[in-house]
Amino acid sequence: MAIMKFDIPSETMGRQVTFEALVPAESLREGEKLKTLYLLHGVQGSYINWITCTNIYRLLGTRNLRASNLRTDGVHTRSLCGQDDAGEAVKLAVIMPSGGNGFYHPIPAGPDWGRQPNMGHQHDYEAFIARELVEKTRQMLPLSRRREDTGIAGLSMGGYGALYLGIKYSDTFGFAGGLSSALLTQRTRDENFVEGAFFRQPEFLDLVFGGFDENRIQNDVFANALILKHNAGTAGVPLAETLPEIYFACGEQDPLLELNQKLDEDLSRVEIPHTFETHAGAHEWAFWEWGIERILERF
Amino acid sequence: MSLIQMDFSSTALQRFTTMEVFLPDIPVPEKGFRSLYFLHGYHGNHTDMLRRLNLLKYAEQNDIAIFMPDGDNAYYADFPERAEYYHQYIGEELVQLTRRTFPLSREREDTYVAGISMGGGGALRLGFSYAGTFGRTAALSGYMVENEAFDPVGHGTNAFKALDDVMMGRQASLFSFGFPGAALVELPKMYLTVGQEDVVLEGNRQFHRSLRMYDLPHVYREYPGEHNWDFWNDRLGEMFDFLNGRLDSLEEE
Repeated sequence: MAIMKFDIPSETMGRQVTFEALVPAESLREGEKLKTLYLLHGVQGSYINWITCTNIYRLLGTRNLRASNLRTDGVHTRSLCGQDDAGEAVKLAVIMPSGGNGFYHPIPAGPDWGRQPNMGHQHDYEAFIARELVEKTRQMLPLSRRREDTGIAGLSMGGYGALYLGIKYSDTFGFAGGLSSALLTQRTRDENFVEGAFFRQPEFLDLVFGGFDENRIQNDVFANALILKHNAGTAGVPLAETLPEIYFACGEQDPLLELNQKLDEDLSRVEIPHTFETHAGAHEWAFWEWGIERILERF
Repeated sequence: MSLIQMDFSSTALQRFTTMEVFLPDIPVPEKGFRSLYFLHGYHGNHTDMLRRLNLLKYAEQNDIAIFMPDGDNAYYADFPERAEYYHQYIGEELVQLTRRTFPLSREREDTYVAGISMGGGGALRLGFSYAGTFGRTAALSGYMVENEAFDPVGHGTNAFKALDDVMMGRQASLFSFGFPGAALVELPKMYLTVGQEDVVLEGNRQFHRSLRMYDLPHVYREYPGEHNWDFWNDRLGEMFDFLNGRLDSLEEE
């Protein structure tokens, strides 16, 4: 499996950006399209974290090898899947971008020189991940354009980002997975202040979230899920057709457990389909190692 | 222009290998991007093309995908005793892998191989062996020695022998491998340039004479200069003119 480091110019970021991709290039067949998982890092991280801190390369290689065997061995394909090659993407590529510390929102960056947007004073992580990166990777690499073949996942800040972007941009993503998701609220902003941890300073959180409000909708996971459900109801479309498959998990010793349980309860209350799991572990790579294997299994 | 460093597993080399890629940022043309496989010289590696050459400028101006593989010191030849098939790697595996991974044109007219010094000689030989794949080849100060002794164990590093072989039709079986009927395909258009103070000057002059003798279309240019990066940077513009077909009317001048 190929490991590819990309440096590309980005309009939404107003700068050159770096991301990493794992692509089963060596075993690609003519015209083959890949499923794609966009994988987001946590605060103080970068595109390199998933590779340096987990076994994702080996896990993905094993998964794709299994997919290859399913595709090339007709007997297995029929007996295990009940159908022959249906033309759907099976093998998976993983794209790992950098999101800075911006919680995958549009955030100020650098001094405001009074020029046009994105020219030195804004990094629009949201548009970059959900729109530009998806489009550009689909242009450059043999990726399926189907919604059901496209997923987004992440850990901590990236877990929040994946659930938020996956649900808000559900026309693009058919799967949204969050591990130890930082589902921050007004209360966590006010109460979780820790000396020295810049990402727990109220000023910083106000900056990247644009302020908190009990009724805020623009960057709240649950609110965006409600909007999706409401719109599906109005349009008379089955919810399953517009809602991505939602999966999230949290460590049983993670301080963020309560916030994740709250999302589970909220979604259950309004009957929005989702899967929530807990597992032994804190806010740490040992838990995310378990979690990424679960996400690769489910997606 | 996007820059990609790609590490992957090669069957022909029996190892993980690496390359640098320039990919245009423009919308992909209907038949895909044109592609240039650009080969480094002896003592170097694929990063030479980023560190010492201004290839990026020409990649941007010409909207062409450039693939810069790592060729070791192997003269882009095959070494069965070491299970390292560099010639086959570039001419077959790398072309197939890049075409399946990136949005590239499959057409011969849009596919080029070029190189510097050792890579220049390699590019010409690859053009002969895989004439159905490459429409154009370019050699900047190509390392070509008309000396059988240079290729004592038959690795196919001698460009003169490769030329003689292909013209004698002795490589017909190689041509037909993977490319049925490819023996009928004409050879790629060729561009050779060399410095007049370069140690490989005489080899290039002789190769130019051989190409003339066989009546093969090519552009041959000598300029003042030595075997160094200044010379190759100065020649890049003309090489891209050739790849774009702007020198075609000047062939065999």
